[in-house]
Amino acid sequence: MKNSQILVCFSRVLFPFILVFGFYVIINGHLTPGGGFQGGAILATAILITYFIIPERISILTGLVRLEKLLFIAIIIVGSLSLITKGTFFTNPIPMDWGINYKRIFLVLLNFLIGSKVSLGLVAMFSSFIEEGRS
Amino acid sequence: MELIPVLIIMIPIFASMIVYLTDTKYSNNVVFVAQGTLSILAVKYFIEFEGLKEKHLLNLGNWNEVVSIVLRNDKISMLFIFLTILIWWMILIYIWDTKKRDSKFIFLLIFLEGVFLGLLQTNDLFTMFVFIEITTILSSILILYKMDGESVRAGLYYLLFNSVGMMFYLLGMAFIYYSEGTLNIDILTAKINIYQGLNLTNLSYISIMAAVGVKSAFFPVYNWLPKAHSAAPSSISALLSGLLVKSGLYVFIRINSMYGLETFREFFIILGIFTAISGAIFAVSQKDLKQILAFSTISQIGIIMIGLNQLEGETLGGIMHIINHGIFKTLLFLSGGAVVSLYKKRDVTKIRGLLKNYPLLSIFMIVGILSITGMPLFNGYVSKSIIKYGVYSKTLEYLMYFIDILTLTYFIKLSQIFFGEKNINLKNHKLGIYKKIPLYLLSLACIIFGNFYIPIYSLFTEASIKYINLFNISEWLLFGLKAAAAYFLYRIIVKKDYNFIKFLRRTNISFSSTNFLFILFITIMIIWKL
Amino acid sequence: MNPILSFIIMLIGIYGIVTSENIIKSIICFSIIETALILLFLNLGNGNHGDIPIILEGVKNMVDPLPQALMITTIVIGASTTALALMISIKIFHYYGTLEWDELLEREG
Repeated sequence: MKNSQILVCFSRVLFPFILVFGFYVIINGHLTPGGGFQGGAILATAILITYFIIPERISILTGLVRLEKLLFIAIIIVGSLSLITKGTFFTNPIPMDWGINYKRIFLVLLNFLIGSKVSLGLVAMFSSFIEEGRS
Repeated sequence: MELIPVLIIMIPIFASMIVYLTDTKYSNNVVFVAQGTLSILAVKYFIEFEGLKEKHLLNLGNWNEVVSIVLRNDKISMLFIFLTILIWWMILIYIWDTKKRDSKFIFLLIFLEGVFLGLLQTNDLFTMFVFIEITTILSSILILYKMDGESVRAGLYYLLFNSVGMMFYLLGMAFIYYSEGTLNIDILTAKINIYQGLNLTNLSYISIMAAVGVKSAFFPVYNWLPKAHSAAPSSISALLSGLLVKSGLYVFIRINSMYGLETFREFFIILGIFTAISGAIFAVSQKDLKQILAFSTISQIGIIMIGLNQLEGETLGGIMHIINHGIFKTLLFLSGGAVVSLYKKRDVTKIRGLLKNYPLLSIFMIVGILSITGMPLFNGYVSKSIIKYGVYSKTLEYLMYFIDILTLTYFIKLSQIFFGEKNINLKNHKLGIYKKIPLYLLSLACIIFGNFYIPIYSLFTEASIKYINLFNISEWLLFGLKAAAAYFLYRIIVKKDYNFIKFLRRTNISFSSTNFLFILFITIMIIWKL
Repeated sequence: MNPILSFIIMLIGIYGIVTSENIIKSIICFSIIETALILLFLNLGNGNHGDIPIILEGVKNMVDPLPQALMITTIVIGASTTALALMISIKIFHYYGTLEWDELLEREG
């Protein structure tokens, strides 16, 4: 089944813009609407567009799945960092009287981890369908 | 000590993850340790809070109560938690040393236990939605675990239909959030005022009740249940029939006590009668062992609905029948599964000679059959008598006697597997010790709950149930009369296998017609309200 | 305007599921109903006539942020249910060779 040439050509042009926009939504999650989950879905769309551009591409599925499990453990570790400094789970580990520029680090880090985990999860799910259909 | 509700949810989930990640042969021991810790924690929690006379709330994260996740425990939820832990013990011992078990099956089973214990403790409409959806997904994977044609078909039907039902739950939740502004059950109980007419709060009640009706198999929308419960492996069938169907009834109890509506009480009693009678008529016409038991579950749910919708304060009969039905239906499904695996066939007219070949197994099955039909000295009699005492009109009481006679009829049809000759071919197959222990314990529970019910239930409720007399001669005579009438009915109508009965056995409703019946159900509820 | 739109989409989905003969069509209509409900939920509060729910200077009339948080979970649940249903339908096609509901339920075993 051949894809249309216009679709392939436009996907080549749009691919870097969607990627940059996805990263913008993830990293600016504490100032504008968006955040981890929404940006992750946009990133997943960007990666899956490459299946239009290069139809014979085989992606590294096992590597993606292993990276996703590592990210899950990283989220739990970052979440339980606050157990050391404040005594409860999943709050900001940085003390209250430091400046706002330090307290932002926790928000940006958590947004980034959740965004990449969501995008890798969605890519793995759709990739397994496409691999099954091809064989 | 304060965090025990969270620990009750998290211990099975962590144990399941450990079993999945480290795939050793010691997974049995890990599961045993986890389940034992869970039971000790539950008993300690119950004793520590003096039987939970007032409810215990646990606010996660100390946010404002309007928007936070709150876990709540009171007497009804503790009763369900104990029933859950008991039935999961029985299932785990039953599959202790089968050859086909692997770590994925244990992982799904124990994870389901954690999620179910979470469903029983929530105080929040949205958390309940999330847990019900996770239960649907996990149990549909467990139904189609054998991966042959019939299981896959049943699993897809179950998954799609329950998910469509839960969409209406979401619709009801949107209406409530728009008109009240919160989703917490305690705050909503104090805040809801039901006016007459058709405004948003009444529409939300109707759509949430439609979703609950799909989940707990009411009259027009129970078609997923016979397919799913007879195509699953036998331990999963026992779990589904004994416990997971009751999750819909638990949500029904909570939502009813939250709204406090009076107009739908008669509607649900009439619905219960239709469910019970139609389930019994379909059960009479079946020949497959597991299909008979699956349709009998539908019939008993009808009786539970009659019991749960009495006047305020007399709903003990329904709750007691939920507990009793969990115990004896698990016993029947586990022993039926053992029979099917020993004889390698499922047709009731072809299996013969159970009493002479395996006497212990047939004794367990006879205890189960006597409990479900309501013989005095077993636990079915106690709950059915409480329901019969609470019914207020004579026609309802006669209808309940008719349902009892139909129940006896299809169980007499099932008990033709006991008679026959001793078969030499089956001498090589024996029943393992790990399959005998749960059957023994469940039969013991049936007898204990039938005789010593007063001290057990006085821990959980304040209603007095001293008026049931176990040794009343008229009750024994009534049971004998019902058995005779059922045997008469069986000889005349059922044994000849008329064309009408063959037609009932083969009816199949497709997916689109089932959804059409679902929309019809909602329309009937709207018309009843006007 | 916006709640009425989501009701129309939901009615289209319900009509599709009541008259569907193919498994894939039922799954697609289920996804349509769920999208319509998520749209309905997000319009509670002020809809799109308010400001961003972040506390800065000059923000007065905030949109309600609670339904947005709940709907993220609902989208994930819907996606996983759809994925599982599609995988099961692949298995059904291997066993039965057909994807119509009527032929599927008529066969015995």
